[in-house]
Amino acid sequence: MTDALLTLEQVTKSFPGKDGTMTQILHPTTLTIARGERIAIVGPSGSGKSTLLSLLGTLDMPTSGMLRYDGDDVTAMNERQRSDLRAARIGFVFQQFHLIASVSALENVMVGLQYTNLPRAERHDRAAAALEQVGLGHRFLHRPSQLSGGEQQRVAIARALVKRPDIIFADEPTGALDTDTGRTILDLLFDAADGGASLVVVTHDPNVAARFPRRLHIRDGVVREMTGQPATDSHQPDEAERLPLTGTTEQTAMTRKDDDHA
Amino acid sequence: MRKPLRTRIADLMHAAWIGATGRVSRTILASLGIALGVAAYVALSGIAASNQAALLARIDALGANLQVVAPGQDASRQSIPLPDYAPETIARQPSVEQVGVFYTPPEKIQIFKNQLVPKSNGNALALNIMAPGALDALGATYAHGHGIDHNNEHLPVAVLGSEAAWRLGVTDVGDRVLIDNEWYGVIGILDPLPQAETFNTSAIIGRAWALAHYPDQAANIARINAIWVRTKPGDAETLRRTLAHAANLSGGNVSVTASADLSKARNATNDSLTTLGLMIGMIALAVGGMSIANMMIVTVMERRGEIGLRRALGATPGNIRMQFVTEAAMLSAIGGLAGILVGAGTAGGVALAAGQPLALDWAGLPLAWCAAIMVGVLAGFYPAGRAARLTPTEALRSE
Repeated sequence: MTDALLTLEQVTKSFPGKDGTMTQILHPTTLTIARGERIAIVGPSGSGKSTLLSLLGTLDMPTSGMLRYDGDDVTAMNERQRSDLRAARIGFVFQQFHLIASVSALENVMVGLQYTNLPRAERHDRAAAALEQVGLGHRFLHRPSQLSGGEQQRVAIARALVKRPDIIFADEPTGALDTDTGRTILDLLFDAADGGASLVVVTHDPNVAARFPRRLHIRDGVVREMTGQPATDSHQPDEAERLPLTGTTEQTAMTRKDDDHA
Repeated sequence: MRKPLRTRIADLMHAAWIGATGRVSRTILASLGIALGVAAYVALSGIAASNQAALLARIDALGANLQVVAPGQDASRQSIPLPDYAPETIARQPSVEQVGVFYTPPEKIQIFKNQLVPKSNGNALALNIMAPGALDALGATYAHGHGIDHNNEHLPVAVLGSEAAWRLGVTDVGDRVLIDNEWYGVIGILDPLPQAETFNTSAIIGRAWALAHYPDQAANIARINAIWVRTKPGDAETLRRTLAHAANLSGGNVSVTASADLSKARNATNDSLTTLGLMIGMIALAVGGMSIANMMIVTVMERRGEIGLRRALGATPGNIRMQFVTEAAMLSAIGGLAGILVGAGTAGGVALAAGQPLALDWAGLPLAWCAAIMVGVLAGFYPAGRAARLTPTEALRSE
């Protein structure tokens, strides 16, 4: 699979519970994300969406299994190498925007390049271009508090795309926005990914998920591929639409051990 | 490939500046303790320095920098005359500023206001014979008239000490006095000389006149009686040796005495107040450091989101640690700068009110600032460590 960007191989994630025993939040999962692919991850809250996203984004390390990024074994990397990987190649967009309140929009976008090796002048130029790209060319010097929610999320998207990432992860990017604004933001994310980046969006909104060609459903730590047209008027897809996968398909695979519950 | 060092430092400073100044009220509160600490030190050491400058000025006015070189005595208590070259060799010493030479007066001289005063009624006044300009070396100033110079040293003119003028009833120049049955015109009356009290009760005449007037005693008069030496302030013992050696190159005994033994007091006043300022400043700095540490802990908790974001953007735990340590250091640098200004202003105000010269411990200012920054770095370590230990997911989960 020459176009595979990210692969999970039998990846699990467990957290210690109150009584000291480990609770498996993510059951063994095998999946591949190709270059340029757009994927939505849907599921109810507490299902493990964010955990999966953290693992994919190298923010967290799996308890077991292997994560490969562009063929390199991320689980074998040290903290610094993973940080460098994120700095250079991975973009993030969050539900709460996470802008720095005391500096301008332009500065906020430049923070997206602070941990790269680019010289400061180049960072400035790229940040300006990125803000233009998300339609905030007239708002360079505005502080986050002077911007609307949608505009703040645009700044965050500019910050993610300014490094020209291989992949953009967005965690509920429209969760804090009204429907219309959310749609615009989603358009922007698709535009941003048009440069060749993969796009992985976590959402609980079926209307958002419906716009993605590939959808993963996660529930109770089990990831399944969704097929067919999703129901856009319900949070819960029909049972029939779920296709539990235990084998390996050509491009993706998710498995679940039947005996993994202690 | 790593970033060039300059870019890395610029990025670090920029991020720390954003953090440290993001909220003005927080910046002020956090750096207040450090500012007070530095201000306490700068103000106290400045006040101490002003006090000391004023004190030293007074001590120097009293003659702490005046030395008297006089003939020494040999083993049989006979006076060893100073060689004639002594004034020249002494003047050549680098620590010497001015030299005044006085010669041996004739014996049994009586000084009266006029011939009507009974000869038994001595005034306990002494006669001194000076080389032209010798009184200047003492720092003598004239209440009236002027001194003896090359133009009038061969004339029967006299300069009177303040006490001598009072005892003789001379109030202004132009009057005359009777010295050894010879009338002398008074050309100058000295102000009181606390640094050389013997001259207060003296009449002083020129060397050329004395030699001509007492031809039978000329050999005696030509001998140097005392050389008054104005030196730069310095260690008294070193000066003493330098002057003694310069006065008699053949190693004969020479008497060198300080005109007033104040040089010890001069050295002793150096330290005590500055030490007090230093101790108060250090205590206040420690308290200020704790307030910065507190504020940084709160900051780290408040800004978990930013920490998580920066980690997601590729910051290593080391980057995060450095950012917060630098931020703490920047807070205390800001506080330190404010403290220096406030402290210097206070010291200046006190000096002005007390009529003292303003003196700051200039070398201490950058040191105080560096100490403040060091305190900030120390205060930042623990909060920065907490920030660095946060995992990206923990930090991002904050709501």
